[in-house]
Amino acid sequence: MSQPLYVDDVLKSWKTTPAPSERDDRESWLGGSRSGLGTAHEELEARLASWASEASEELGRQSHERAWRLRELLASDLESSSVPLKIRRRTGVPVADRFGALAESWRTETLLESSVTRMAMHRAYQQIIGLGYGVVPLILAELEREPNYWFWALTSITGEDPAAGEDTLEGATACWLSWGREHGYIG
Amino acid sequence: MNAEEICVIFPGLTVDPHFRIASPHDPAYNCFAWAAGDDHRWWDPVPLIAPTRAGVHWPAHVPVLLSRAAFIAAYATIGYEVCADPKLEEGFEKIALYENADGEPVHAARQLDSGVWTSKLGRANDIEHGAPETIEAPLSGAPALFLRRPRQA
Repeated sequence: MSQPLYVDDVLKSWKTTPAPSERDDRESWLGGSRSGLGTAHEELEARLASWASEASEELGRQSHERAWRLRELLASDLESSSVPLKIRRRTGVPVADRFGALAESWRTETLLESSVTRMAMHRAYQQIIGLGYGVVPLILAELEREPNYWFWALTSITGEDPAAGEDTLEGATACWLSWGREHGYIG
Repeated sequence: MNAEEICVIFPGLTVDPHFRIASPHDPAYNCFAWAAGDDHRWWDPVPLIAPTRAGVHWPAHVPVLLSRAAFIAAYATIGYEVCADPKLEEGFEKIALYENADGEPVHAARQLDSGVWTSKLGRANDIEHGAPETIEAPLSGAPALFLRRPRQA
């Protein structure tokens, strides 16, 4: 039986390994990322191989920032429910479960709130932002199920603002769902 | 929310004969929008330094501040001006602006032509109540200012 794999550990390992400045260092950098994940699962290996190939191409073009981003996206993908196996935050609670509990708390406790700023400052909302990229597909799925003011969180996490200038909940929701489909976060 | 749950938060409604729930939940608009007669946008001075201002509306050229002056300016864009009290006046419709203990606007209600008031509760229901003060509560603050404009056709 394989050991539990903690996404926190993988990310920490990755973040302490800077992207190489020389093309020759590429393989060792990718190798370091691979060893961070271990051999926990075939599907994981397949995803890693796919990512490594793509990242390698980016590095070949000296696009380190893009390669780095790919690594972050892979981490978020692993954290989502698509690869549930042993991937957990250190709390031992799957990210999807933690997000679900926090989202429910936020929905209930801010139901009567009239200010998006105060909604976004709510403890649960801030904790959701703190969960990072791994919750992006979960937030988008939630947004698809029930439009709500998740835009502050999505922009905080991703640095993107595809709904800028949209002044209705419906319009901003449509923009973010479109963004999510384009980036493969939702079907 | 049902009437019982609403009365727990706004105890004054338990003795308000005009209290009724007037709509289902709708997150598309808030109390400030509803007071302005807008039921498809969320009126909110989300600060310019926020990560995004997507999904909210604030009238153009009005200060983006959570302050009494900014809300007076926002409602002035649709013809409201400050008035003395919430009494029903022939030919006018009125808004009550509520503030919390810190002086921040936290709620707004609008007077219907019957004299009854209508309030949107966050992302939840619209309700009707007999007077501005019957929904005084820590969450909604207390009526601090009244505005009026000629009643729209």
